[in-house]
Amino acid sequence: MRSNSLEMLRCIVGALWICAITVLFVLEHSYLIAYFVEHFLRLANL
Amino acid sequence: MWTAIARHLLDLLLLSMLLCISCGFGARVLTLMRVKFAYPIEAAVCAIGVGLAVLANGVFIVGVLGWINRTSVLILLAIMLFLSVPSFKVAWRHLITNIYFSFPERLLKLRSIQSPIERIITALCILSLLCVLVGSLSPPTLVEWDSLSYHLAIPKLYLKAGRIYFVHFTSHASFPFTTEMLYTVGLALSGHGLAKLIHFAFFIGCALLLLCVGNSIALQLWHSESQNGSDERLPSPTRSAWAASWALFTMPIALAEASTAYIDMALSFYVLLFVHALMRWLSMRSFGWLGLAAVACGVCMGIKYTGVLLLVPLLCIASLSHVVRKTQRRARLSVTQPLISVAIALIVASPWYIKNLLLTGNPFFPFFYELFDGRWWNEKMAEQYRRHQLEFGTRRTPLHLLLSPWNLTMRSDIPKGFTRSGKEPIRYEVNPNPTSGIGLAFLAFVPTVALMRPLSSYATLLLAICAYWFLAWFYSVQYLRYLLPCIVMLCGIVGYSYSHWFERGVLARAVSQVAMLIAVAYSLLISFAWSLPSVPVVFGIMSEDEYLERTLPSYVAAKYINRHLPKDAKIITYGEPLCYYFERDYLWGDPGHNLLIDYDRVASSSDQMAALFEAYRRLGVTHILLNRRYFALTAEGVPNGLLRRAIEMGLLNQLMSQMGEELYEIDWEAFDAMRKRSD
Repeated sequence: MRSNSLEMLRCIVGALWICAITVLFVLEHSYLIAYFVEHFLRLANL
Repeated sequence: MWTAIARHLLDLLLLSMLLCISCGFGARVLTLMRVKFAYPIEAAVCAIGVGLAVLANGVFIVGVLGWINRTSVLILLAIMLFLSVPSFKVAWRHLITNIYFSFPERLLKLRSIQSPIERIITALCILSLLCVLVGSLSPPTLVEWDSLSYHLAIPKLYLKAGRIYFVHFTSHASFPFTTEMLYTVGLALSGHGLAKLIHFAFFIGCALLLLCVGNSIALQLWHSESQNGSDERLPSPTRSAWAASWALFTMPIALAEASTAYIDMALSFYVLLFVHALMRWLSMRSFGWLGLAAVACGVCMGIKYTGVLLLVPLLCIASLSHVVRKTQRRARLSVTQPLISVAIALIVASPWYIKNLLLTGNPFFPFFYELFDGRWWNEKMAEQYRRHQLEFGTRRTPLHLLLSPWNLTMRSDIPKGFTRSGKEPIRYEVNPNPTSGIGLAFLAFVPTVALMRPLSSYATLLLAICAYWFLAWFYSVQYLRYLLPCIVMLCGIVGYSYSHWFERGVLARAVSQVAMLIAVAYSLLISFAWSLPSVPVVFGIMSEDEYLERTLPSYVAAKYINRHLPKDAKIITYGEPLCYYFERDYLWGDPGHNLLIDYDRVASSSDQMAALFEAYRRLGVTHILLNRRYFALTAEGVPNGLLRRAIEMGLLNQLMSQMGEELYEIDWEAFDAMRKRSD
């Protein structure tokens, strides 16, 4: 029982870590991503 | 357009032939070493690795003997082909069986293994690979600084001279040159297109080896847990293999590197081969695998000095694994096997170190000058080079060590105007840019290993090797490319971690898939932006000549030099090391690169101008090329101020000035007249 809840806790912490880093990475790189996307869209219009 | 495409197809055909011959020959060597493989793909990749290493060393021997040219390279390949005929017979039988039975079966299996998101990830990886291929088919230009200054330029000089010799003007020519020997093959058979494709092939090799490494890590856990009778949900070896391979595609720096003629993907490939062979040896205990690990370690040392780092894990793992098994026979093996493996690694790497020892007196030329001393280098240059190398990265404190995974992920690749915080990027490369990032996957997945129970012992082993490499990197030169093999090894851990979380409930499964998808998509975006400018030249919409004229200032100078200067002209360059396209003799003139001109002596001379020009005359220099973006004529001292005065006095006549490149001819008559007047 105890090991099950510990396992669940590990799962939640692991998932939260992956989620948090992904969100932070996207936020930190958002200007760069927006710049490239805009650049490609402009090229496609041309 | 069709001519350009036909040329690329020819290069791809030549590459396939090279890889086939290397595979056949490597398979022969591995058969002699009694290495047994589990999968055909593992056998093929290991055989190609060994075959290419043999080919590179063969080219080195031919080069030292002074026979290096297209014919000798073809003879070398023909000998390898002849010796590998028995392997081809076996391989042909396997291939026929696989084409009719195994491949279709595996493709169907793949569809059932991967979730819809995972299939999208695989598709994005294939798109990234195509972007990299486009980049690698383009001619090397300004973004490939090191290719144009030495990875391709020095092999071109060797081919021109027909032999390997001591290139005085750059210390970089004395680095271990195993990969450059393969580029010599590429240049001899076709040109830089084939040379760049060889590096691209190493990238694909890394992706395939990561399939094997990711699989081995998870499989080890299955073996150990089945012995313990555990009912834990274990990570799938197949998923672990795929995710390890995807992780490689989440690294913008790896994708950018793969499209150049650098050496870091080749080094990463042999580092992975080393790790994979060690894991196989630990599970199978066949000395052949330890021998292969030793060969891979030796090849790494022959590619880059940092490869020497692998000697420690080789020795430690080979010794400790015997000590753990305490039988009498094992005790004897614990002494002999590690020593034999280290000896093999040293023998494989030795040609480069012996060459340096004989030519300069320092096997690690130009490094460790304080230890080995040596010719063609001095204390001042060693100190200058050391200081330059230590400029990269952060301070070397325990706090910065802890922060470095964060800094590498978040602050290494965003140019200043693009950060939310407005902070300066950390200089892990000369110019931080989107391709100098390691991507999202490592920080997202690797730390979660701390939460994973049970843990594969191979994952622990890989983490230990990576931690050791990382520490060595952090406390020496924090240049991102030097860390690449370590990050590529970590892909195995990322794959294993992904596979673990995939099996742990809906939330962890969804989050890990989305994180991997975003990581691959971001990297694809960067690699698309990286390769887009080369699309017109690759598809023949723009000629190679026009493309290089627009993107590479030194090419404009090279074109003038090749067209207008006499065959016996010799150019000294200042601020311009990118001389790959030059068809005339040249040397780098900037202080700090070589001792061909003793600028301190020139500066202390009573007639500095005469001393400098006499040095030029002694070296046979006829022309001077200045790259004004990196060489300021406004600066005082030697040589900048002297060259400005020489221009003003009419000793140097300008021949061309374009895109910051200025070419001057030395007017020896004017110089001699000036000397007579002063006498």
